[in-house]
Amino acid sequence: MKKLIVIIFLSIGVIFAQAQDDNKQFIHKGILRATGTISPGMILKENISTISLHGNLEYYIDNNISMRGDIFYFLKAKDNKGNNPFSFNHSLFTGASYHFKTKNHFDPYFAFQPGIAYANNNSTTQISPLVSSVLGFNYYFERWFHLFIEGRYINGKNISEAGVISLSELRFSFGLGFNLSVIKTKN
Amino acid sequence: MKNILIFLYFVPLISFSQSDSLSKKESGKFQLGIRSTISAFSDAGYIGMGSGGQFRLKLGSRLNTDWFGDYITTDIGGLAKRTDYHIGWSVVFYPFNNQIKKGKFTPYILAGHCFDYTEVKKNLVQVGDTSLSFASRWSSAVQCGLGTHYNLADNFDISLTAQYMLHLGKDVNATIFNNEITGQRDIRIQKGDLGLDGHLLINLSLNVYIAKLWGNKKR
Repeated sequence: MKKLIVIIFLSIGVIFAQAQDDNKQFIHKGILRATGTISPGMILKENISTISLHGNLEYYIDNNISMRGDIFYFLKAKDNKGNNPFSFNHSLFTGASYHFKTKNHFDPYFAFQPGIAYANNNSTTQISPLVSSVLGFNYYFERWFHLFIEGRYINGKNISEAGVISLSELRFSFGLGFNLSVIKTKN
Repeated sequence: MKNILIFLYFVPLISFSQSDSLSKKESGKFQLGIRSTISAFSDAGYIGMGSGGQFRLKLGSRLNTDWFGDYITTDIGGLAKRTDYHIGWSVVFYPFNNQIKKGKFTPYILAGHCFDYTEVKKNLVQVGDTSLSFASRWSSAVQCGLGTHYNLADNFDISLTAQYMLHLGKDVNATIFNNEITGQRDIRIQKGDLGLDGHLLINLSLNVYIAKLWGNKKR
């Protein structure tokens, strides 16, 4: 299955790499984009798989810089023994993205976002600080829509009387996003 | 399957075209189509076959929307039948050319959402078998993929699409095992908690241009 996903995304990458018909970067200051999707994840040290709903809102404050906020609504977590170590583990992130320069609709980016986790480890509820980095890309369609694929690494710890649970996690998101241009640009 | 994937991988390269001078305003074009579907890498690893239909509504010269419904059945080792009903939409973007012209390829990428109903039912329930013989679930999904139209005529195309669909819903799975009491292969159907379930869908569709719903009537 992993090979299959790699093949699909590699194929999409081939298309993006060749789609240079405009010779001009599509993204610009004033783009507002929003997404909503399903996000599978893996808490690495504890070997726990997670499922969250992922929402995102992002605004391009310059041609290559955007501010973004992300919310993850926890649905489920399960370790390899079938146990659920959390009643919930919601998280919220805010930060900025740097968008690499391209000459087409392809928009690769790197984001840095501090955040917080609001988690219950089946005994107590804790708010824990998090830090995360994101690597991904958008591919903007003609207008209104874009495809996005991204991976996020989160670092943090849930510390309580019951013990310490690592919140260091890899999360993966993809899907259809919506965008509009808030500021009209000169062509 | 490997050959199909290799073919799909190279279709966009073969069909790549730089000619995009004919940037027609095609917004409002309405197409109706039927399609056959292969569903791979889903329950117990068996491949499903399906039929369905779709309509496409163009929102711009490079932007299309695809609204689809699929009915897919999978034979799980002769022991059970899985049935999937899909209804959803995808936004389709043409990165290279949007020229709908006889003899031309029009490659695209797509992403969208889907809602699904799945049921798994045992083919034969033995007397005294108290295990689960039927399970069903509703789920929602996100998908993305790529494909190409081949325009057999100015108003008719054949399209091949490969997309990965990730479902969120209660886990329904079927496991084949050797029954020690009967000495025969048997199947265990289970319905679990919330889970993710991904599969690859390959669609081959035939589409005909029906009408232009808004804008210039001239094509």
